[in-house]
Amino acid sequence: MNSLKNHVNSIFSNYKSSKQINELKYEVLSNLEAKVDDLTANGMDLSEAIKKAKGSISSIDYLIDGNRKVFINKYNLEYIQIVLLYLIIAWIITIPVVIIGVGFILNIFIFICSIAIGIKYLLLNSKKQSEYIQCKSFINIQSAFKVKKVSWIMWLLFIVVYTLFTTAIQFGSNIWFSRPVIITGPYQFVEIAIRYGIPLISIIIPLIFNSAPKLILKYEVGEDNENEE
Amino acid sequence: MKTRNNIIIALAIIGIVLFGLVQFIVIPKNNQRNYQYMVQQQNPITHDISNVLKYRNKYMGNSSNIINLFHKLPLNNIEMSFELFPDKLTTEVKYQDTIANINGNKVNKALIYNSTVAFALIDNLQVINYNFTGSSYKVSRSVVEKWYGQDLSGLLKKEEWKSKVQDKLEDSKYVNDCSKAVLIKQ
Repeated sequence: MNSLKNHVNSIFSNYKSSKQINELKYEVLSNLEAKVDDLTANGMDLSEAIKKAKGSISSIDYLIDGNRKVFINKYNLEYIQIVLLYLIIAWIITIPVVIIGVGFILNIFIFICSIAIGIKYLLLNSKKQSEYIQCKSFINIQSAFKVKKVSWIMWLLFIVVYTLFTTAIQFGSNIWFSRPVIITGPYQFVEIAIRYGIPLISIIIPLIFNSAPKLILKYEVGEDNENEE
Repeated sequence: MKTRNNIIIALAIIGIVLFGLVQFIVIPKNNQRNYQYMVQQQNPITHDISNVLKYRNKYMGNSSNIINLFHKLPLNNIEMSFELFPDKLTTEVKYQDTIANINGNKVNKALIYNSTVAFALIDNLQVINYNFTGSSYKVSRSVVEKWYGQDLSGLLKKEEWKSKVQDKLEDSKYVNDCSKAVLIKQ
């Protein structure tokens, strides 16, 4: 029966251990053992009964809560397209900022990411075989919602911490010595505003995660959902 | 998806044009302007006095203020160190080069200008000693005030500064006479 246990472990290998997964594992293993017992009681050889029982269940994806079967390549293609769109917008926003000498590395980094994602998008978009387009796989919508929520929380935390950090760097001594903040002109004002504003570009990260649940629902395999554009 | 593709293409074109404008026109122009400004700050006649007004201070004992001030004045391209003598209200500026290397006329103009700025901005500074490799000069507030015939902080208005301090330095006879009167060789 160890062989059954190994089989169950292998089909659950893509899932992290949790209460729900452990219960499901136990249930699947019990069912397989019962099936083997039943088959052997009917005179089947043990090794053949194990083989047959294993063959009866090769995937448990459909048993997991929140798992949705989607047209995975269509989903990936549109997801990458959305990422590319956000990256290009972020790149364009950071271009004028470079004039005052800040954000150059960020601008180049976003530019390189846009090129890499653009190439990936073109490669995926060039695959037109029906087999590839119709390929299906499971994605967990609950995880997608969880990641979306976590990414927004992390982003808000990042913005708060970065704003405090920028304030400490820019005005730390003014606050400490109770000296008034003097902004000598529009150039300095713009420079300070950009230092505060530039981290907001990172909003593209939660926005990217925000798209995942919508796309899962859009490309979910269903009776009335062929998802052809 | 097709609409989004069109938006991506349009944005990519806008991005490339904007990137080209910023990298090949705006930034080189800015760099050129900054370089020109830097060169102007080396010349007492074109130096921007408004850029150093923030160093105005009652006391010469504020070392960071006085050091920062001299780093914004002509001759700031020469390596220098400082020593302050608050009990004598004296500052010593040590330039790590010879006058011959820098050019005598340029040094005279710069020392007249820098001393005028320093005395005008720092109220209780009385004497500045300039040390070069192999030679040194002493400049005192009383002599400089006598030369201009007025309180030095009164010169700090832009027009007055230009006409009474900067424009005069274009005249080599004025520079010569002023150097003899103000720069006391040690």
